[in-house]
Amino acid sequence: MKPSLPRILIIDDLFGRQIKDRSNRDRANLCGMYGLRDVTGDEAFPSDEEVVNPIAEAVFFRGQRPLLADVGDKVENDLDGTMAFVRQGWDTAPRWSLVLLDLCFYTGTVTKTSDKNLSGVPEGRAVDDDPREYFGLRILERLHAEFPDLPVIILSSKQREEVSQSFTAHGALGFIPRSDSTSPEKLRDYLWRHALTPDASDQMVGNSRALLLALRAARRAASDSHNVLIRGERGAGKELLARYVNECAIKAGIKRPFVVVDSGTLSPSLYGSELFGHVKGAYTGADRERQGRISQADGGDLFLDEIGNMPADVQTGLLRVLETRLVTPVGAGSGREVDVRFIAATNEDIEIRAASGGGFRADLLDRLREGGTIVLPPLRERREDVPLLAEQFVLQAEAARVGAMKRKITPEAVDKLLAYNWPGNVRELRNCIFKAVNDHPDVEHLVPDHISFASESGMPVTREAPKTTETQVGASDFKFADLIRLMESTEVPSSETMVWAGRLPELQRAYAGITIKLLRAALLATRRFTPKNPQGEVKIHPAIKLLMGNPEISASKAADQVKRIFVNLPESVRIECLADPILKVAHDTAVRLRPRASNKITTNAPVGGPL
Amino acid sequence: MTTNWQNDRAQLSHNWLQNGVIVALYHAMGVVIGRVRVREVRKTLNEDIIRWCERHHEFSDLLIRFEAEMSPKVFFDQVPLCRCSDETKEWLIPLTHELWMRRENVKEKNASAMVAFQTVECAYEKACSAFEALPESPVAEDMELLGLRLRDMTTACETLARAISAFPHEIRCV
Repeated sequence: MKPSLPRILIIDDLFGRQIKDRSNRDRANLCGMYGLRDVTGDEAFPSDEEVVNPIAEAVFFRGQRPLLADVGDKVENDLDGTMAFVRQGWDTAPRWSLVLLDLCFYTGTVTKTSDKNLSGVPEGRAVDDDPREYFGLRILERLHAEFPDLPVIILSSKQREEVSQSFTAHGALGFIPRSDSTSPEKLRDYLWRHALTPDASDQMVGNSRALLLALRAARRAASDSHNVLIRGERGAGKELLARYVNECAIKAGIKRPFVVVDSGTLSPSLYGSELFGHVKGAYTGADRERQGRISQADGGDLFLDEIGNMPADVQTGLLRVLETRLVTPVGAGSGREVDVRFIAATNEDIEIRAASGGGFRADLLDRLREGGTIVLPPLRERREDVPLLAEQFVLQAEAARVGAMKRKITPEAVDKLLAYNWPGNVRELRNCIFKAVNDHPDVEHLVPDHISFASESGMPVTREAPKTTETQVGASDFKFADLIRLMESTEVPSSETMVWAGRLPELQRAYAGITIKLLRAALLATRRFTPKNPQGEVKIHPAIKLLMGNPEISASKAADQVKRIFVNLPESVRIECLADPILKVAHDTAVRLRPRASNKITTNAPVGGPL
Repeated sequence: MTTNWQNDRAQLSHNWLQNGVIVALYHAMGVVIGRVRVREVRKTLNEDIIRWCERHHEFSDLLIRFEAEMSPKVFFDQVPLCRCSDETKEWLIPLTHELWMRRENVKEKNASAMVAFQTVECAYEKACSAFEALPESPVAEDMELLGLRLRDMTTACETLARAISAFPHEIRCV
C-alpha cells in the first residue's frame, strides 16, 4: 500500500486554460520546472515527455469561463465555478493536499492579436492588473471562509510586496515567485510544512482530513527541537504519532534515538530510577549503575506515554531536567548535560488537572507543550480510514498466523466495521481483525459473521458513512428520464433565434447543470466501498437505477443513459464536467461499455418510477 | 485609466516573458539535468530556447513608447486640461513632462531595461551556440555547457522582467 503522491490544485488562468489543439506547452514546461505530474485529464500533457520522480500530482484549473476560449470569445472570472471545483476535491478523495493560487487573471475578449501571442488568452482589462483587485485575492477570501483547513500558497510572477498584507490577511500560508530559481525548492518545503499529505512510511495509515491535519502538525513540530504534547484517546495511536515526529526530525540521514517510557506501567518507587538512572548503591538492590531513559534518548526523543500518571516527586525531577538540561541519576551528586526532546502523551484532560491543582504541575505542562499540542482524532472521527486500516491488519494477521489463507474483506464486512463506534480506537480495530483471522484461518473472505466487537458501547444505532446498498427513494412528481428527453428535444426555430439570442445558452447551461448535478449526486450516493477503494468506487449502473427509479434497467441501458446526458450537454459544460473526477469516471465507463451504441433518443427508453 | 502600454507590458512581460520564456528555460534546464525525460532532446531544447525569438523584438518598441504614453502630458489631451490656452500648454506641457521624467527616473529605468534586454540577447546567442554544438543524440555530459548557458539566460531574463516591472503601473501626476 504505497501512498500516492500529494495532489496539488493549481488555479491559474494561463496554465489552467485549455487550448484548441490540446497542447498547453506552457503547462508542461511548468510541470517540468517544479517536478509535477499533470493529472488534469484534459490530455494537455505531451505524450512523449515525462517528469522523473515528481514531487506531486497537479490538477490545473483556469478559474474562468470558458475553459477553452477562441477568438471573439469573452473570458470572465468564475468565482462560483472555481469554488465548486475546489469543493469536489475537498469533499471526495483524492483530496487536495495544497492549492497553488495565481493572483492576476486576465479577462476580456480574445482578440486575434492576443490569441496569436498566447492561444485563448484575452487582451486583459484595466482592473485585472490592479493589485487591489486581483481576482486571486477574491478566490483566496472565499477559500479561507469555506475551507479554513485547506492550505493555500500564492504562486505568482507579480511582486510579492504589493500583496503580501492582503494574502496573509486572507489566510495564504506563503508565496512562491513563479519564475525564480528558488521556487521549486520552496514548493518542496511548503509541501512538507503545509500540505495535507499521508504518512509516506505507511505507519500512520489513513487519508482522512482529521488524520492528515494531525500528521501536518507533527511534521511542523518535528522541524524544531521543542517538546510536544500529544493528546488522544486510548488506542488512537499516540506512540505511532510520536515515532512519526521522531522520523520526521531525521536530518542528514542520521537516525535519532527514540526511547519510550510508559508512565502507566511504572510503580511510583521505580519511576525516578527508570527516568533518571541510578548510581551503584543508591538504594537497596541497586548493585550496579544504571543509565536512565533520559540519558538513553540523548540526541533524540523521549516518549512519555500516559504522562498524567507521573508521581509528584518525579514531576519535580523532570521539571528540573527540562529547565537545566542536566540529568542527575538517583544517588548521584551531580548531573550530566543531555539534549533530549520530550514527546509527552495523555488521554486525560490534563490542562484542567494542572489548572485546578489536581496532581499535575502547571509549570511542567507548560514545558512539555512549548512546541505545541497535537490532537490525534479518535477513529470514529476518521471513519473513512477504517477500510484501509482493516486491510492492513488483515495482512498483518495473516502473516502472523501460520497457514492462514489470504482473504478479502467483503463490502458487507466493511459496512459492519464502518458502523461501529470504536471506543478502543485503532487498537480495538486491530484486535478485532486479528481475532477474526485467528478464529477463521481457512477462509478466503472476511464476512460480517467473523467480526465481533469488544464493547457493546460501540454499537451505534445510526451510522454516518454511506451504505453500499442502493438507497430507496421517496415519491416525487419529478421524472429524471423526462429531464433528459427534454434536454435532447429542445430546439429553437430559426425564426426565433434572434429572440432567444443571448438567453438560450444560459438556459441550456442551467438546465444541463441541474441534470449533471443529479447524476453526480446519484453517483456519489451509490458508490461501492471496498478496502481497495475506501473512498468508494463510482458505478453508473446503480446510479442510473436510482435516478430512473427503475431497478430493472440493464447495465448497457444505464451506460446509454449516461452517454445521452453527456452528448446533450453544451460544449462548455461538458468540458467542465469532464474535469470532475466523478463525472469523468461515469463518462469513460459509459463510453467503454457502449463504444458504438447510438446516442440518439430511443422511443422505448426505460422510464421508470419517480425520483 | 489603463493605457495600451500597460496592457502591452502585462502581455509581454508577465504573460510571455515570465510565464512563457522563463518557465520554458527552467524546463530546458530540467531536460539537461535529466529531471524531465523527453523522446527528442534536441527538438525539445530547441523549442524552449527559441521561445525568446517569438516576441523579443517588441521590447524596444515597448520601452520607446513608455515616455510618450505614460507621461502625465497625455492629460493635456483630455478634459479639463485640454481647455488650457495654447499659450499655457506651450510651456506647461514640456515642464510637466520634464518634472515627471526626473521624478520617475525614466531615463535610468529605460537605460537599465535596455541593458537588461541586450544582456538577454547576448545570453541567447551563447545558448544557441552551445545548443548547436550538441551531438544528434546528446547525453548528460554533452549538455553541461548548455546548462550553464541556460542558467545565464534565465538570470538575464529575470533581470529584464524586474527592469520592466520597475516602470510605473499608472500615469502619475507631478
